[in-house]
Amino acid sequence: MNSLLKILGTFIIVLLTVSITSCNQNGKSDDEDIFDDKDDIGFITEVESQTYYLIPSPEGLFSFIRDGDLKYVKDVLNPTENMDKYIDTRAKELNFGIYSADLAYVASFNKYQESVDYLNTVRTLSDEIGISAVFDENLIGRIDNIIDNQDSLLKVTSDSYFSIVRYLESSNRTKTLALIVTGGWIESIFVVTNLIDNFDPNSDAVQLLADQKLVIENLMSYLDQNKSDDNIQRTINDLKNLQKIYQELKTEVKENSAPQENTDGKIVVGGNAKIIMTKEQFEELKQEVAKVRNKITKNN
Amino acid sequence: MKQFVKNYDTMNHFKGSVNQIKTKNNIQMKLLKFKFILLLILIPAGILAQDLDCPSRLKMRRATPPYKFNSLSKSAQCLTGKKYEFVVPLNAGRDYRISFYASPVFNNNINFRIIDMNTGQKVMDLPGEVIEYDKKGSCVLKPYTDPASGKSIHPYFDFYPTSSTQLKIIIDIPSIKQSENEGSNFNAPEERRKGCVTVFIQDKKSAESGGFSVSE
Repeated sequence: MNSLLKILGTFIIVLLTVSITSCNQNGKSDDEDIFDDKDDIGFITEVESQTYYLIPSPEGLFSFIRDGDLKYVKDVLNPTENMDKYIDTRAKELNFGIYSADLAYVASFNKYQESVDYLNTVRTLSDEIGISAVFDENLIGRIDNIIDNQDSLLKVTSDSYFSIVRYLESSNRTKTLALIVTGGWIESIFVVTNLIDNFDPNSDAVQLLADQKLVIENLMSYLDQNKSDDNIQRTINDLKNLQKIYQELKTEVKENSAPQENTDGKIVVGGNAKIIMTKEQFEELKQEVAKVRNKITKNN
Repeated sequence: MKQFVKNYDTMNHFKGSVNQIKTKNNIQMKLLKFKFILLLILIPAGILAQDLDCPSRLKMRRATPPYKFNSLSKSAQCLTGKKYEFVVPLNAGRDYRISFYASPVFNNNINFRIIDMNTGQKVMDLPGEVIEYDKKGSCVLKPYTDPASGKSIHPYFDFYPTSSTQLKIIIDIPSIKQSENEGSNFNAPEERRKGCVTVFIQDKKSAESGGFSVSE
């Protein structure tokens, strides 16, 4: 009986210790869902809110290209040899995003050797920014055994990207994630603008670029949540002209172009508004994206 | 006398054996207790550790063909008494399927609202669970029985953007005091519970025309 009491006592002490440790870890490390002192003692005076701004992955953006008829141009990508230029953390994190987008692009076109090269570059950079743990034996095994198959190539590359995002979110490295996401988005837009030879306002690619007006607003709000960090603030400043160009895009109301009623149980959203990009705006955007992107890749 | 000494030796030998067995038993018991304590430590620690890693919850979700996993999916750590907003950009020309999952700690006591930011209209406003209904579209978290197949289906919501837009998903998790102690005059400190809420997004190329669509 005494032994049982002792065991129970030990259990309660251990449980309390584990619970307290767990709460402390959260309170300290979770920047977003932060517990302030008031919350720690369990009182809530008003309803708090928190906003997550979601940004599509490069693979998500390139899936449009894959479905469409844009061609493969390797020259627009950031050469893997440039990796040695990136010394400081900001350059490494932004270019990690750039290379992740390049990897998604080459994988979208089923370029096996290029995919392996970019995957290795991403792996090397991941080591330098302290996220090499993402590339565990399982993932490395999958990478080593990639066959020349678009689905598995794409699957492995997108799984690698999501593993990185999950790892950074789980370890609350939101600032690193913000820079990686920014680099990935910039490179995706840079690649798409460089694949458009002849401007056609009705083309899918131009519309995809115009619709990024919604994404850049999300991206800027996301970066703004982390602006206390100098590297993020510098990135916000670098993106301001691009944001301005997007803010100037007008919205046009389409006529009779889409069903407005609920079809097949789907909830119809979006209304009739369509974001329009003129040729001049496209050229201006292309120039500005190249400026921002090259500043990152050249590490000026 | 000799017989007595012999018996005495035998008894001593017997006592020694009994002591050895007792010691052995004691060690085994201690080992058993240690294993028991270790289990008691590891099980709750494991449970607590799992609760904290919300982003990994997404790994549990599988896209249902022809839909594919969309990278905008998000699993976030949430607290009772707090409101969360997810701003999701959607592209015209694609069909989106959105479903939600929440940790059992919330007892499905979560309210979901979705605003189409292009039009400013509220396109969904549902609770996590409605006890008296068991049909599609009545709630967000509690599975319903499909009348055709008789299978239990986790609720999902299909969206078709005629133009690219943003959805603002508002997830409101009432505080425990509001939700469980309603009507109580007792002014007790509120308990704050923590868990994960997942916004799982899938998409596919839309078969419908309207807006722009991507050529195959």
